[in-house]
Amino acid sequence: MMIDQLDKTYEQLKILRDNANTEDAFEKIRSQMDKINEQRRIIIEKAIDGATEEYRNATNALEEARPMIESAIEDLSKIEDTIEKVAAVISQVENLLV
Amino acid sequence: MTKRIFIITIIILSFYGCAITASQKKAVNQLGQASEILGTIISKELPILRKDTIEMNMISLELKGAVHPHKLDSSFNHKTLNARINAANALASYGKLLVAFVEGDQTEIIKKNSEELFANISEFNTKASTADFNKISDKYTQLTGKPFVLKTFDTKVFLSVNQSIQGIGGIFQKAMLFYYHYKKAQYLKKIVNAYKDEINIICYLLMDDFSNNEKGLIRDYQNTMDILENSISKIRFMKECCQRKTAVKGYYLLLENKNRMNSVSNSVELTLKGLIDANNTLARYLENRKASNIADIKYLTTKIKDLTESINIISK
Repeated sequence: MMIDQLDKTYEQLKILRDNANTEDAFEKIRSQMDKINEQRRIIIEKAIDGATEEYRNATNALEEARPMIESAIEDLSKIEDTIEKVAAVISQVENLLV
Repeated sequence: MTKRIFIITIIILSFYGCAITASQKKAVNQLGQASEILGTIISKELPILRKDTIEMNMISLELKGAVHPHKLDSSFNHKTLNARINAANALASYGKLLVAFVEGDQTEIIKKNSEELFANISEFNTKASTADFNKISDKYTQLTGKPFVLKTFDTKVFLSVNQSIQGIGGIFQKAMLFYYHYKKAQYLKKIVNAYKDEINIICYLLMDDFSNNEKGLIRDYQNTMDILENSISKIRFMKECCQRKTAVKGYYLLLENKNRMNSVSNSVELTLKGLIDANNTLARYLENRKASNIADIKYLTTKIKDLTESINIISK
């Protein structure tokens, strides 16, 4: 389910946010976490059709982004690429929820 | 003459046979108490959760967190909360009504609680939203594996049960005590059977609300805590003393609310599950007491024992 994937991504981002070594990276991750929070709220309030292809693709994209976040937690030099990847995934989810 | 006395004795004994035994009284009494306490706890807990939500969101807002200023109470709005408070009050009235049925002469209390139960159930059915009924349906299917069929709430049926209860304890019944006890047993069966599904519906919705893994109110509360946590995390880069102070205040509020949420949510969810099981068993038992065996009453007693223990944990 998408909400589970969002929860897991959120928890990973929390670790990455706390590890971030620049204010800029920290703020970007914080803002992404706020967006995920908003998306979780929408999923809770609305009935989202989980059977569509878009839903499956967005859920898979969230799952696929996680190893990258994990890797950035270990190696902060990958933080900018990870932020970009997460931003793309968040947009994909956003399009689905609009 | 002897024949007449014999017939009257048989009638009296058969009425007594239909009355409630001591062990059944004990079970009904404990189930009633559990339902009453649980309903009361939930109806008191919900406004506290709303107050916490507003407080957390106000701090997040001060720290420029992602909060809508016009929606500080998030999902704990008045409409949602009122439906839940009616639901919790219905649980409490149902409990009080069960207890009143098996305790001495409680005629007036029976009538009063029957009125309250009817009023709260009717209010709940008016105020609950489509989303609420969808949550009930999901929870029912998740727990029973069966699809949920929502029956339209028929006020007439419940009004008629309530009206018949208002007739309890008339002069004739009071003069013929054995007949009064017989009538009470009949009414108890009527109440449990009439309200069983409605009480279960309420429990399913409240279970969803108090579960961390569902889409109910506790999940929304968790979201509000996450927003606050994300807002106070900025303390690393905060330079203004005033903002740092607000963040520290938010941090302590977060700790306090996290502990509170964890202790309340799981225990309430489990207890509601116990209440559904015990209530279903009681309904089955009252429905067909002659065919029931000792295993039924033992099962009911065990269920109620578990329920009472859960209630004791929550009440602390």
